[in-house]
Amino acid sequence: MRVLRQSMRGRVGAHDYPLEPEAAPAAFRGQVQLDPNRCRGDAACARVCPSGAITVEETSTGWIWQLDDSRCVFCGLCADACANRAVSLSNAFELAVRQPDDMVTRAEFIRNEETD
Amino acid sequence: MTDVVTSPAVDLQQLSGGELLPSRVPGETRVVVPLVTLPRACQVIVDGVGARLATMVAQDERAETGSFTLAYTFAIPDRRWMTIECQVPADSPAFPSVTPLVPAAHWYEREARDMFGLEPEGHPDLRRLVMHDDWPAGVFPLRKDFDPSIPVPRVEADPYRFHTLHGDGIVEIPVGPFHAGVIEPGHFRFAAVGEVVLALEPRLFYTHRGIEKLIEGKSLDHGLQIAERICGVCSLSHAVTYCQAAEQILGIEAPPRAAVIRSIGLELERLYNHVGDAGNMCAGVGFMVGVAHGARLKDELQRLNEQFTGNRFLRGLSAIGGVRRDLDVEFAAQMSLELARIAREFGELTAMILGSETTMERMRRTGILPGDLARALGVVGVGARASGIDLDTRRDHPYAAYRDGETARRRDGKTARRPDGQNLPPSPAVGRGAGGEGYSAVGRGAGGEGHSAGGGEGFPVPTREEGDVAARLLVRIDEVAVSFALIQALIAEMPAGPLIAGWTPPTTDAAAFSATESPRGENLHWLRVNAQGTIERYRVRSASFPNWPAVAAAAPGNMVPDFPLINKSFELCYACLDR
Ligand code: SF4
Repeated sequence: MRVLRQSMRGRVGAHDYPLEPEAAPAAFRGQVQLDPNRCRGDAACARVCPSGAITVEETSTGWIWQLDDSRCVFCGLCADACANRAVSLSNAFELAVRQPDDMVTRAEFIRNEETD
Repeated sequence: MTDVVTSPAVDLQQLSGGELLPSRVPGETRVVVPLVTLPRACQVIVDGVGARLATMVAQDERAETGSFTLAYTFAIPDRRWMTIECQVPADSPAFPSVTPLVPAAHWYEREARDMFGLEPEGHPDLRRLVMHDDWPAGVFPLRKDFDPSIPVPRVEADPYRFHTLHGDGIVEIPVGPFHAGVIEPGHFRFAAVGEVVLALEPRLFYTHRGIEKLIEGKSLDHGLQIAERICGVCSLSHAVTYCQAAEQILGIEAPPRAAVIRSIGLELERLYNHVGDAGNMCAGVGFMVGVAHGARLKDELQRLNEQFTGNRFLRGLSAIGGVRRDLDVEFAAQMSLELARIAREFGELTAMILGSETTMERMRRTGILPGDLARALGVVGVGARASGIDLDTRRDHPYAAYRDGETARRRDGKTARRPDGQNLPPSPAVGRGAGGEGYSAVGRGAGGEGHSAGGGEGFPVPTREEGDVAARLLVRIDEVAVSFALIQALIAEMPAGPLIAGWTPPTTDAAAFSATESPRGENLHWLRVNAQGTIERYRVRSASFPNWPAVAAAAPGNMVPDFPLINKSFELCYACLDR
């Protein structure tokens, strides 16, 4: 009834999404994000990921962290597992892309012997 | 390791004539009987104590024992479970069918035939159920020697034979599996004379994802991610059922705060489903204002879910041992206010639906499911309660915060206070008004007072006797009131403490099962882990599994155009039926 009355007074009850952007709540589990300054390449995220969305590959100089959004189920286990709090789930939910390859995020790390 | 209640257990054991086996499930009596006496033992339990067939689990244990195992689990009205097992030898994979004596077993046995190649001898209907025509003969996906990584070549085969009726003026109407709407696939074959349905045969299982096979060999943690995705709209119920089964195997229990948070989540799940369904049922009669309001309120509830758990379908809340999200005081207060407002607006919506005589007239005496038929089919949930069967897993096999009178105490108006300081109503408004509007309020005095069966004393279970579409709507409306009151009471008395109990992967072979009351009725998950700590066998029996045959049984005698309404009033799920 509230909405009926509201719309009778000329106000539209619904949001004009996507023209009017809609923010996800703080608790939302959206796209996985990596903080490159915190990542130490221990691959805890890759080990817990149930769908194989995250992979961490050792290289001769460091490691490659890779995320495939098309596999991710947004469970958040990776964020829970990361001792360095490098992995988190952001509020981003508009994940449509034009090319399948754009689903993949890749980050290459060079190991810094002094700090490690 | 056994939790079997000793003295009453003896009765069930004696009744069945079987040999007692250990069990990890509280209240379960587990026996093994010789193959030949299986149907008789099942019938004796059903007739003797009014048991309901709750699930049947087949297992391929050829590697360990040289045979297959069948386990029929029954829900006993006094909060107990009874499982009757038997061994089926590997070299002659056949067993005497229980279906002629216990009709509720019909689909379970056909499924065991499709998935394990176990032949139910004497079963009245030996057509394929889960596997469709193009699946090759002799390939049984749940046998241990089936490798799911190798694609199975499909074959040309005779098309499925529907039961047909012949006679003057009888027309066959095929509907589906594709429908004019965004719904799941299912085929419905009507035989009608003019407008009137004579018979309906549904053909389902178009959405087989092989979940029970997929989960084998996974760790318990990864298994949860799959269990949570069996069904969209009952995600949390499935997740909690799985977690509880795993917790029984691990011998742990979710801490009190986690139990309360789970119950709040489960009631939120019931709310967004029931509120949306009350609206959707209006679509069946073309009452679009009701549909729009139901959808709007459902969305508001789902937004609450999202703020609470980070997911509109409440995913990621439950974990093995407890929960992953807390409910802080601030958000709880906000949620309480929001829910109070939504409850008010839902009241306006139901007044509108119940006050629309044309709408109610279409719903009354439409799609009647007789109580005795519902009982014979082992129907659960709203469909059962609207046909006079007084069952609710929350009261009959209490779990989470529904356990042992806790909810009754919490619901007590003297202690429960809303965060805004107002006292809660002494008991949720159940069994009241809804039936008032000229609709004979038969029910069973569904109100809070009567029921004291089991430990969830006073847990209100609304029931009605009519078994028609209107009764299913009214039961839902009453249950919404119970859920709103329950959440408010749970929020008002959140125990402090940890959110999750620690555990380490199991190192011995063990099995357990657990049941919860999802919005669609009882979900039952049977889980077995092996000594490596991975999942050996998982059997999901969702509420839709025993209820789909009831939809077909409720259709004859109605007009064809009333079928969408009847179907909506049961509101079953295709995906969790099929898995
Ligand atoms: S959210 Fe879950 S599925 Fe997605 S990357 Fe993290 S662990 Fe993997």
